[in-house]
Amino acid sequence: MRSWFLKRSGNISGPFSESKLRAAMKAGKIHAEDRFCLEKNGSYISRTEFIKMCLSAATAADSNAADSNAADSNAAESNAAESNAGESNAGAAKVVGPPPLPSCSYAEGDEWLFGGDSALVPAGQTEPAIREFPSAQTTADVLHQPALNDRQQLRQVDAAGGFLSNAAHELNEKEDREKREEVDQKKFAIVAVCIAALLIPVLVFFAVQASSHLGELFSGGEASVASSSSSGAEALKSKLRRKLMSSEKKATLRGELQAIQTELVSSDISAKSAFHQQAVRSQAAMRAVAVLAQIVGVSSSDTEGVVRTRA
Amino acid sequence: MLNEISAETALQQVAIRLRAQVDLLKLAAEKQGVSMSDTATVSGQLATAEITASNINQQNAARLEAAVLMAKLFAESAGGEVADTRQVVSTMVTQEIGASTVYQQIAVRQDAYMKMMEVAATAFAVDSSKLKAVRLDATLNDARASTVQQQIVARMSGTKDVILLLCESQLEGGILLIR
Repeated sequence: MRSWFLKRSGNISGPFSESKLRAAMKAGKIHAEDRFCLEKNGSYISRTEFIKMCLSAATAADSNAADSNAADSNAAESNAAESNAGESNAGAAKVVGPPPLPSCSYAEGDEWLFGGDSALVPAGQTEPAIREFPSAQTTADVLHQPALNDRQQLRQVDAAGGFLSNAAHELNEKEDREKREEVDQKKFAIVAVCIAALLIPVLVFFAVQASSHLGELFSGGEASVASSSSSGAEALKSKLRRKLMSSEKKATLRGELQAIQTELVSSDISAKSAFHQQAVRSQAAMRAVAVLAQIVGVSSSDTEGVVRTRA
Repeated sequence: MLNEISAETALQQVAIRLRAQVDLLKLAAEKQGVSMSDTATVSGQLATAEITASNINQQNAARLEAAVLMAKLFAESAGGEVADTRQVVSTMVTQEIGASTVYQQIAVRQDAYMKMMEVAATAFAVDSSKLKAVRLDATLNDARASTVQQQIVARMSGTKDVILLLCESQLEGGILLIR
């Protein structure tokens, strides 16, 4: 039996026998941060490594006992169980996590080292197989999965948190972008409505004016314009009407003016007296006024009607 | 006798054509934007004067007055200065006071008619030099007239020339000035 030194909080005590340390460990007096070493000034090992080394030593001792007494089947089973436990503990040395539960009872003395529920099973009684109980089997499957260390778990948690954070951030950005687009669309609609409200009356006004005057233009300036209460608007219409007078209409009126001059000269020659001259000039003036009326927009039919009626 | 009948016929023709001018000026003024109530007022005054007229000369004098007033509305609707049109009417009324015969009254009103059309021509942006030339020609013919009838003829010629000048200026070039 080897003796071990115990190092706790920098203080070294011992040496203690392995059985004593097992009893202390069973009593919960050995802390997780305690270190063990066979020499006082040697390299101290952790509690896990200490337990593994103790198991290795116990396994070797039990194997020797099995060789000497093959009838001791309980001891063989205990050795097998200890081998399994050793493999599991070897894995636990690399992966920090809960150690797998032993599947069978331990040899006498070892049960005090590991404790647990299996330690309550009496030494001569075999523990029921876990697979016989489905719920227990599921638990065992979970427990036999490779355990994650804290760093991996933290990484996974961080990754999950980062993913959620990124997702939340993207969602917020998407919402903000949609809100901005919605606000921009509303602004554009408001601006468009304002521009339309300003332009529509102007366009309607010019359209009405243009249609009115173009209608007169295509009809040779003879189309009558509806009377308006505004004299200014009527004057403007009359001026625009003259401006939009067709070339044919202008040619006709120019011909009428030349005819007035020509007939006046010929009639004046044959005038016998001042009264006849007055009659001739009054006729020329009448025809000239008729032309003037047509220039300002009076239809030729109206002017001809007046002249025909009076003449 | 034949000349007298002929003269009577000529005066009747003058009366008819004067009435036609009044009606045409009424249409033109209304087309320019003058209210129908204003033109109807002038037409009503003319109708009243024609009823009270005892002969063709008084009838012509009434129609000339109506032509002057209708030309006033036309000139003002075209943008003519109201002060100018009122000055023409005021001068006409003043000169009528000194007129001892209906022919002199017709001569005065014929002169006012010509001047009112000059105001309208000015409003229509007729070339002022051409307008002055027409006015000078009418004044010379008026000075050469030895009788009131020849004076009336000269002024009627001047009126006709102003109206023709106005029409020609509006038909020239195809582009009219909008005042």
